Amino acid sequence: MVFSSPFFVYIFLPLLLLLYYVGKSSTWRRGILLVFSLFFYAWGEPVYLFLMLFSALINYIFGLLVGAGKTPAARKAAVAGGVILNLAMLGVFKYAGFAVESINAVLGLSIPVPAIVLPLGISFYTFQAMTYVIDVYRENCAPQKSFPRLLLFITFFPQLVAGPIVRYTDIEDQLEYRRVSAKEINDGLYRFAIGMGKKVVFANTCALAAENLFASTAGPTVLSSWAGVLFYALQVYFDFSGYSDMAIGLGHMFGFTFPENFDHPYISKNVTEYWRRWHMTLGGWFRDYLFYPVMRSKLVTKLTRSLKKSGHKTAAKNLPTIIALTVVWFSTGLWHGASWNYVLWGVYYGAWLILEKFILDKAYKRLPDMLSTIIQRVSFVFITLFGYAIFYNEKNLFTKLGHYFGIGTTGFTNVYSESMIYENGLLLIVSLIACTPIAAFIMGKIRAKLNVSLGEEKAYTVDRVFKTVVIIALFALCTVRLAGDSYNPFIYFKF
Amino acid sequence: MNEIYERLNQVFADVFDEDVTVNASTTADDIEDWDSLTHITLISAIEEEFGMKFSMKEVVGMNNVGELAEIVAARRKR
Repeated sequence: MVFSSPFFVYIFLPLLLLLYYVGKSSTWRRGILLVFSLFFYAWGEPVYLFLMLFSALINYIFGLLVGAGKTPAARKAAVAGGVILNLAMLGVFKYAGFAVESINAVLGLSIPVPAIVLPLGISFYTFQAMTYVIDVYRENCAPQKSFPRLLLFITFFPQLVAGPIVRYTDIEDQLEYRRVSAKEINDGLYRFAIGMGKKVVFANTCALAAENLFASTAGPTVLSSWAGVLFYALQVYFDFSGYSDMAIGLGHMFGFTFPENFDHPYISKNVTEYWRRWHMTLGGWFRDYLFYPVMRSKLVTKLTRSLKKSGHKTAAKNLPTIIALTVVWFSTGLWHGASWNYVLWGVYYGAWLILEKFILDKAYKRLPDMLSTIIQRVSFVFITLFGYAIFYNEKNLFTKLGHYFGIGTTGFTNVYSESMIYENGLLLIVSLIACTPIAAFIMGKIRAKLNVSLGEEKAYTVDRVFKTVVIIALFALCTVRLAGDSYNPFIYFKF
Repeated sequence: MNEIYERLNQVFADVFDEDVTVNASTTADDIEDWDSLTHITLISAIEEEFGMKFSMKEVVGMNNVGELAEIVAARRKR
């Protein structure tokens, strides 16, 4: 089920809110959320619902096992077992086909490729569930004794099929006790409406522009390639950050606080900053659960020691980070999809991050501030767009990438490319502005002014009325657009 | 405690390639290159220096150099 669909907005959500708020007891409310979450998932994946239930059960048991372990070795064995089982599930359902295809291609064999359909949201919920077991092991939380509560954490529909990646420790207390009132519903609906607007108004429109540019009948040009990928970049941002907004807003309506996932990534100065602002919960996940363990692994520690002993001080200091970053970004790429273009995309970003950390940042510091800023900002735009070019093209990757440099194109530009850009010029400008924090900045100023001139109480009322008007307006606008639109999938559903 | 800070200063200088002086209230915000990636390099270097291993919870949970020094001191007593 898609958040930005009439059924979800006008039937599922109102019914859930009504039932959630008629009962006062925490058990009733958890029960209602659980039932609706399972229904939400089963709507699109009736069979794989059992896979998700199985995953939850496995992680529940392993959480208890880790917690019950008397010796460090027993705890370690239990957490290893849990992680291996999770990865095995992900491996079979997400990567089996890809692995067999790759083996066939490399060895020239023809092993039949298993036809497994990717279960919805498996990458997200497996990571979340696995994190729970690891967090029990690290003593960040106690094992959850109640299976329904853990099941609710794993299956909770707002954060089930795409980001943000919510950790158990984020909502551990909220599973017990939640603060809910009309204010929470109003704030949550507002955030949801903003996200829906990003998705329905911006993402879907940018998607169309990108598709038209990529699928030019007059043949690809350099200009249509770069302009197309620019619209695609905008689409992905509005699509995914819109989804995160909706998820965070939905959580809020039921008294849950989810972590933020985006912080205006496209205003970044360089790749390092970009990854601190983009899909923040995934970056944080890979940092805490892969980068740190690799850095602290016996192998890497041994390597550092022997490098130090042999007098290679700089290598001893930097090589572990380079190794760990490579592992992390290879995995980040693979996590996004079982296809080599995603792996290449991940490694591409890993390479840029390593370059920035160890070479470019130092070089930029030697330049005059102004010059270094200009170079960084301009190169950041092209690095990001080219990254998206890799990300977008699951098929014929290298032919497509050639188009960006004039290889295999019909020229730098043609009439069709230009008219497409003129046609979407306004959309481009508005979208680019919408990516920046400008609107939030202006709103903050107005709010501060109103606080002074009206007094806090009245300003609060004005804020509520304003939010309510925005909610109604955006719901109406999105409903009208959805009625006439056939294009409405979320990009991150396939990961 | 003084001895711990002296040795910590040495490790910080090694990791960040500059003469930094840390005290109990120094945080990652005070040193430009101290980000979440360098943090772990720093932790590993400190572990090597003092011959101990921190738990993951300690690694992620340290808020300033003071807390770090406390952990080191507490570990040595055991």
